[in-house]
Amino acid sequence: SHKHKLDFRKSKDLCLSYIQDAMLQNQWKRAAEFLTFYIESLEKDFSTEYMGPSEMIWRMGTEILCHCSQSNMKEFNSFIEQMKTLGVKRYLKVCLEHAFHLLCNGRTDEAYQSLSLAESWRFGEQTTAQDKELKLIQAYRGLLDYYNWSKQKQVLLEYDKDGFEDLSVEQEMHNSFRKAAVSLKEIIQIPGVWDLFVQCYVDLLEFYGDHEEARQVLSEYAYNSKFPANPNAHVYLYQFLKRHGEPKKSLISVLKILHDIVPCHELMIDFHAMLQKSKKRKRRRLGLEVIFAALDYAGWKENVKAWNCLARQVKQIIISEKHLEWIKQEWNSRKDWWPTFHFSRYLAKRNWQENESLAYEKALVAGILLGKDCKYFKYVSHQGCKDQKKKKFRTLKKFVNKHSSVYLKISG
Amino acid sequence: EDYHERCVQCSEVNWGLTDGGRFYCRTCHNVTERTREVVNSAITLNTRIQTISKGLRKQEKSDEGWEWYVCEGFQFVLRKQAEALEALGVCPQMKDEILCNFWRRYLQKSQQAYCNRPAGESIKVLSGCESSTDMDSEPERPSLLHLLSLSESDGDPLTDCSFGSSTGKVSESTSACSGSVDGSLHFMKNQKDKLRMSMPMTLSFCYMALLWLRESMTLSDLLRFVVEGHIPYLNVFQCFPEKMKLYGLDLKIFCVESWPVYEEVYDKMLHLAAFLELPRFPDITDSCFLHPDMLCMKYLMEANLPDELHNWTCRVVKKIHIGEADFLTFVPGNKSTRKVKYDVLAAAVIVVVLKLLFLLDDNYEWLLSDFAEERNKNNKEDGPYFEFKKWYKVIKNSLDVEQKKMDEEKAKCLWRCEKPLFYSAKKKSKVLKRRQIVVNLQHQFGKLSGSWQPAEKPNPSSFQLNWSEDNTDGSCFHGHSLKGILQEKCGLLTVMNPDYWLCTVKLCTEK
Repeated sequence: SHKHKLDFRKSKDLCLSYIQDAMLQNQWKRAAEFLTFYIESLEKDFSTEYMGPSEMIWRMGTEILCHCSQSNMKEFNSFIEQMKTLGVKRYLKVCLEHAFHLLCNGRTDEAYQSLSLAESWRFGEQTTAQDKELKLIQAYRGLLDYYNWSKQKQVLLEYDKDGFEDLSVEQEMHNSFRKAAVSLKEIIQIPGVWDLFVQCYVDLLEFYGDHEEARQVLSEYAYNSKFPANPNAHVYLYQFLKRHGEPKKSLISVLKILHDIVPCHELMIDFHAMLQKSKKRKRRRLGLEVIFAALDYAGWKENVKAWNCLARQVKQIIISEKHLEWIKQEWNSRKDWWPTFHFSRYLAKRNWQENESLAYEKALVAGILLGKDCKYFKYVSHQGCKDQKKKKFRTLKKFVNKHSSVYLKISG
Repeated sequence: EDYHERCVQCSEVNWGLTDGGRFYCRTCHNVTERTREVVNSAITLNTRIQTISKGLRKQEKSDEGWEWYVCEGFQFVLRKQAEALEALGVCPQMKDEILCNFWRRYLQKSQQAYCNRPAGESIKVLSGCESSTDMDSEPERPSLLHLLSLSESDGDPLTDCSFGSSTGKVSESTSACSGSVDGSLHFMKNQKDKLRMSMPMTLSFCYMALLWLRESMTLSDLLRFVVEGHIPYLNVFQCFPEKMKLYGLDLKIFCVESWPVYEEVYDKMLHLAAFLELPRFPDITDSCFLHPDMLCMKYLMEANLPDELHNWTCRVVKKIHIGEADFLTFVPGNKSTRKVKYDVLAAAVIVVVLKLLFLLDDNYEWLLSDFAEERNKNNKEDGPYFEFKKWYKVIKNSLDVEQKKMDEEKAKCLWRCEKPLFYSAKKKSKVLKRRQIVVNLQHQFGKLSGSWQPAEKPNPSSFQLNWSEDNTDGSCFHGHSLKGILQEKCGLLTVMNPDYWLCTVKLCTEK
């Protein structure tokens, strides 16, 4: 029998591949040209397809209009309006993406209108079927309410400076607050990643003095197991607690979880500093663990501050002659790979060339952990001592020589 | 089949058939669940007649349309196609005499018209069913088909006036699911019936007429003209008169979404010719366009091959006796004679000749080409020898360029037209709305891409590729000589290459 696919379908598939090729090669005019010929697929029912022509045209048309220099916002808006009529099952999704597009182009007012309109859309069964999109629309509208609130707040502050008062702006501000608060609170109750929404909501609460609620919200966001593991949640909580002068104990417990999830997080430096200042032995022990763990990651290899933290703590332990076993424990799992990872001769040369402070800190650590004869220390201290002005290197050399037997105890 | 069961209610055996095809007792009007298993056309015709016989219902219809039958539609199509062919240079005889006679004969033989009792009225009476009541109530049908038979003596039978003047307002006889009267009937007719009229078959008719007149157009030429838009095929219903409303099943009959396939059109033509009981077609002689000698010449030119190859194609044709009238001429219905595809045959001959001369084992031809190249380098005065390699490069380049163009054109093919189509009145508004959106979007993106213009129709031409000796770049090979690959033997020019095909068979020597 003859070919199973009609030529109409074949030619449209072919047309589609030309559009896709053109788009991938950034040939937007050509893509628009072929899209023109593809558009009549709308008059054919492809309900069995995974992605029908109307969705294709929406997505491709959006891209093309974004990139074609001749098109403008008005054209884009009219295009989107047509797309909305084409597929009721996709209506809210189109609205949402349209709003994003408007926001990306700085048209916050239009975005707000579009979202508000979409929020009030009802279409029988479809309303429940598109429930997720509706919630997102409400959430983003709430976000824009926050944005308005923020602007109005600024205005009021300016007026305040000049000694003015404006009740109408104040009224508006409170309205925006109320609308924003309701929507933001609503969305962050659903398990998900809502970083931006949470932050805005907390900002609102803090401004109006509802610290309790803010703390509650942040704790929920960080600790509710239904929510996906999100390091940012802990960061926000930590920052909040710090802002409000919470005791070190709470701060440490929050950061401990962060350390468990993301040992290479940038807050680990602060965490280490906090732990070092503590009188409690356990905390200082934890500090050593934290700083070693951070330096396990490639992104931290050239972090001077981190090396400085480690060097200081190591030095302090050595001088106090207490808790050498801490270093031994930490070094045990690292002695096989840290030498190549951090203390190779190549790295010694490179670090010395690029960043002497880095080389200095690392040399100290290397000298203690690997002994004065290790490649890294030898190279750096030799280079450092060449220059008469760099006294610290001579001090370093002396220190390491003095404690040269430590490395045996550690690696033993 | 007789149905002799006694009625459950009244115990009589007096059965009739409802519109829905169920048996009902005429005595007590009890309807059974028993239905006719085989829906043969007689039954559906019966019900159709009944519906028609019920007469005009006084219902207001916003748009007036004619009653029209599917075969009328096809007649329009054929007329348009014939006009187009005439515009391409085919003699007017084709349209006025040949094609319409073929068509009339077809209608006669398939009992759709031009006969005393068109199929619509030859109802097979059901046994056990008193058809008299049904038949009696049937009034004189204003049958267009009757009019057709009357107008046989008219001037141009393919004009619309014979249809247009006959009927007035649309009646309920138009079946709900098609604009034509018998759309559903036509569609549900045995789908395997090779001779059921269809769009591809219109081309079979055309080709048959062209063949009868021995016009200079092969089937592949015809189909190419269709794809290029010179012959109405896609959306041809646009030229139907305003009053001939097209919807529902008519769409399945008259709207195409695929280009015609050579094999299908050719096959149908064979069946058609046999069905029409046509006699032996006019002889194809060596002065005809369709004769392999002629076609080979044309294809050689198009393929940019040396003219000298023509001698060889003629020799091959003569040798295997495919140039004879008895072989080439079409004799419908005769199972024993080979049916010849003239275009394919000519192309095959050229391939065979190339094989003979160049072996084409991906080795020998390049070898010969190198020799020719050497010779051409050293000798610029006498005419160039044909270099296979050079030819191949030139032709491949052109083909690639043309292929790319063709692929893009395929992708840019627009299937829909201005005239909106819908399956039912319910869908009409949706369809029109869609069309509006489509037109808007086309304008919007058309502006972005520069100018919104569907691809222009290329001017019709017999030749797809053209090569001219005037080109100074030496890309025309028509005048090149085959001397380099031939040798003289016993006073005859023969090939240097002794092998053939897979190099396992030696060429036999000339007897």
